[in-house]
Amino acid sequence: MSEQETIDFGYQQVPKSEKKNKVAEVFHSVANKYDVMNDLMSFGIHRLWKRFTIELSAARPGHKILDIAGGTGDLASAFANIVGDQGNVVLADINGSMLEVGRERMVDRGHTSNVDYIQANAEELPFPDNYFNCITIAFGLRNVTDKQKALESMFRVLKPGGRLLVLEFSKPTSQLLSKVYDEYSFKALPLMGKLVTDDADSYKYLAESIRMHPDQETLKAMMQKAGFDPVTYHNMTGGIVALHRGIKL
Amino acid sequence: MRTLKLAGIAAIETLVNQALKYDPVSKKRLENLQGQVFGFHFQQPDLDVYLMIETQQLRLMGQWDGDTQAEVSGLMKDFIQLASAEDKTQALMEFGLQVQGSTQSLSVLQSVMSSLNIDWEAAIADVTGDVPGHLIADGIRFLASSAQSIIGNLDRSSRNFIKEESGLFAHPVQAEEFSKKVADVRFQSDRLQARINKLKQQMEAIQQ
Repeated sequence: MSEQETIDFGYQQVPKSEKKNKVAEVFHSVANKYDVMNDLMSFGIHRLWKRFTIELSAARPGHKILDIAGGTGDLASAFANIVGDQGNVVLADINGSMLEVGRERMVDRGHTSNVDYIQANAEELPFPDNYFNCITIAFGLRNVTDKQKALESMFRVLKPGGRLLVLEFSKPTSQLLSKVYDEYSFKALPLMGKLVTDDADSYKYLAESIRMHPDQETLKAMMQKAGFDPVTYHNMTGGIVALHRGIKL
Repeated sequence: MRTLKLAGIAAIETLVNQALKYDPVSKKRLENLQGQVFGFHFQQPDLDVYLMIETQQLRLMGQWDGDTQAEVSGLMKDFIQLASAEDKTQALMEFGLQVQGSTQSLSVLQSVMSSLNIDWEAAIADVTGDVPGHLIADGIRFLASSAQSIIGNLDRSSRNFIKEESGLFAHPVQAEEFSKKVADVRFQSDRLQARINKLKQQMEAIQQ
């Protein structure tokens, strides 16, 4: 098998065609406890990272918003409140289990009229060109097999003047924080995963996939290559997470 | 730093939304401002906060890229004074706060926020259940009324003690009479001094 036909799945190299299924297995396994684990792993800070994403979205009543890899709908729920009845939020996820949990959470939060759900691959978004005012993908891009293709697909469906926000784990800016973070990721996270979801492997994958994900500057360059201009990023919590914002002119 | 700021703003947002939850009238009035964003730019310390009116709640944000309905900027202490002022419109002009945009929308927002009437009994009942909530609220009302009465009595008693018992303060009539007597003495002593001076001058004239 040639190098070009394989891709990283955490620290492993797997055939490109298999990554999607392997990622799906991970999320099928953790879907029901996803919220609990997010709060535990990040000490609740993921909610603040998502708040900042909403602040930079400039979402307004009447806007059309696409939340890719929407998980349990944290961002989609906030956007549904902002865009109101004249707007529309599409919660998309490639994983059926996550989408099902997301839909249940959205209904529990009282969002029914202005939210649609779609099981879709970020690399081939099933929407017309120039359709959305804003696209967000939070903690999802690193699981996508062909990230560049996904960014290009997002660029296509975004309206001119619209913005893409990519919230993703990144590279800590301090050496000391990086060491502490490594210890935490490779020791504490799998242990938590084992205790809460009885699945240490999925959280081992989480830690590995974060390390394999492009750093701030590389992702910025990828977004520029996809056509976004300007592209800026904001480090949060010492660079553990970065929010990239790209505008489609 | 950004994470801390976000946490602070999130905490305030939760408080405000909880308060609004127990004041349906104010919440209804806010519906007229739905979709509008207001910017507040504090100085000393520097802090920008944006308030967005959503369908069911308010959203506070540390930054905002879009248009705003109105923006207010000024010193933090002036904002605090404005919050406690009775006549907000007058205070807004007096404290040197700068307003840009629609003052009418800002005035509606200000009016809603200053007339918040929170149903604390409902808030307690949500946590404890209806019957215990009512009993607790009754207890709090009784304590508050007793405390108000005690404070009122204490205030009256201390005024009486200072005026009547301690003798530290004179009655205005007494003070006026005393003041008149002092003025008389001063007038008489001035006349006496004038007579002495006149006599001195006469004696000096005789000696010469």
